[in-house]
Amino acid sequence: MTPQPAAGLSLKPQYYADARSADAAGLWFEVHPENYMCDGGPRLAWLEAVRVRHPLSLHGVGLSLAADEDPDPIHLAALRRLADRFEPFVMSEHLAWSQRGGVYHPDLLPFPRTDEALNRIAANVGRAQDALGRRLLIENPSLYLHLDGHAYGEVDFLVELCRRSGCGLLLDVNNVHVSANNLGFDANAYVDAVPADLIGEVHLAGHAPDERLGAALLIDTHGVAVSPEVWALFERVIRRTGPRPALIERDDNIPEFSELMAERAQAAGILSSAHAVTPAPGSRSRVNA
Amino acid sequence: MRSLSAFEEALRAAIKGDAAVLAPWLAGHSDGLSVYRNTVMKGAVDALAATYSTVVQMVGETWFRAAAREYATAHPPTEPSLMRYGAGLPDWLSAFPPAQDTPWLGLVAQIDQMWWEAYFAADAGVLGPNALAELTTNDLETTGVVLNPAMRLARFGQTLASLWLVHQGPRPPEGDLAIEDRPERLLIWRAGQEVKTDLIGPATHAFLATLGDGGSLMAAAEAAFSTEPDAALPDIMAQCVARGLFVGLTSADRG
Repeated sequence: MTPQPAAGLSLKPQYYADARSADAAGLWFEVHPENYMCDGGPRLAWLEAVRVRHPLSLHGVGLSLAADEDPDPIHLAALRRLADRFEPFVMSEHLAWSQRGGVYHPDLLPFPRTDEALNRIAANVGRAQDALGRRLLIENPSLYLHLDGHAYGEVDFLVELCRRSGCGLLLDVNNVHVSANNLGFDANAYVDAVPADLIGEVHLAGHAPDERLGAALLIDTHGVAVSPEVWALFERVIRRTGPRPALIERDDNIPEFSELMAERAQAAGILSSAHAVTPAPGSRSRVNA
Repeated sequence: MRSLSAFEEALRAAIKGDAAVLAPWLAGHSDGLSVYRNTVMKGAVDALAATYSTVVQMVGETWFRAAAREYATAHPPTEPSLMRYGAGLPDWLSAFPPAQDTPWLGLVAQIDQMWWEAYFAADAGVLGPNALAELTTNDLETTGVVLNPAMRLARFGQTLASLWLVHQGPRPPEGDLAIEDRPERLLIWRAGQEVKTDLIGPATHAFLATLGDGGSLMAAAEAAFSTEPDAALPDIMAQCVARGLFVGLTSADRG
């Protein structure tokens, strides 16, 4: 029986052995499926070994849902194979684009939130969900540029995307903090506006000031511990929504496993002290409207 | 034309270097553009450094990352999985003007690449020790071998396989790393989930290369004897089986 996922960690190759033997209550792991798109070998074998013990999430970075082109069918098929093999409890992607005209940019790129973009992304999310046979959670990105021509605020855009496509949301509170700092909006007001029943997962991560511009430009590095401001946003969200699967993301400057497990324990404490006040995520009653 | 496509083309061009094309789309300064530029480049360069780790060790992080930036600018990733990104780097490195003092660098990169190919190859059940024992002489003329998908074979005119091998230890090698003009043959394979590498003799190389080209076991044996008339063929075959290089038998032409 798979335990109920509570607080989880990014799974890095350095952690395979520790991850397999770790037994904290509610522990789960998340990987970027793009790093497992191979025919065989040690990486898939390790993921299998971890998956036998723990729930798993596939968190994609390459589907490029906000590109003005259809999702790559080869990439979707590779995602589907991984999903069918590893049976993740959740799959997620980003409100961003990365691929265009056969070139892949290893980043999550922004776009003006217009009606045209909403139509295109809703169609792309729908295509992806059909191909995967699963609902996706879509993550709010970290933003660095003041774009002209937004017709929607980010929360309104995401809520409308959920309504049209049936997807849910992965609320990354570090991205909210980073974007709010860089673009000058109120992070608390942002997270308060996200409907609780759409939030299927929450991400926490560390950020760093830009080397040249300092705190005026925060960068979502995933390379340091979660900051106090981001912990505060997380508590604020969880107090309102009740427990959600929550993840400590770490992709760079990888510390000892025990260090991340300590951060994870802090998230688990916040989750267990929260009282569920809304229906569990995954309810489709609203999003299918 | 303020379409989604037009914006994405502008951002793509701005990331490549032409910041001015983004100006009509900005409601503020363009300081954040550098974050996207840096992340896009770091993703590609990190992937190349992970794949070509022996080259990094030999030329140093700074030189490699500078070269990798040039490669990534000319040949950006084309798919979201970066696991196989940079397959063209060995050839590119061989023709890279700043690497002309080390003309063997591209071949070292090729060994790194083959190592990862073995690492990511499909899992396969291997033939047991008696699989070849029951074949008659006639069978040998019409039977070929399905090689393990994780097996890679290379031949070099210089001692580059040795050069690569001494860089695989936990510490960088010390002392003289002279390259000799002496042919070497390298076998890369996976035993279970562990990638293995070994120098092999001319007969083993000729035997496996012939099987890899679809030749029969008899043709492979003839190829082995033509490179080493006194080759110990039973030992070579037994070692191939013991290493798990054979995953099945197949019909083959004698030629």
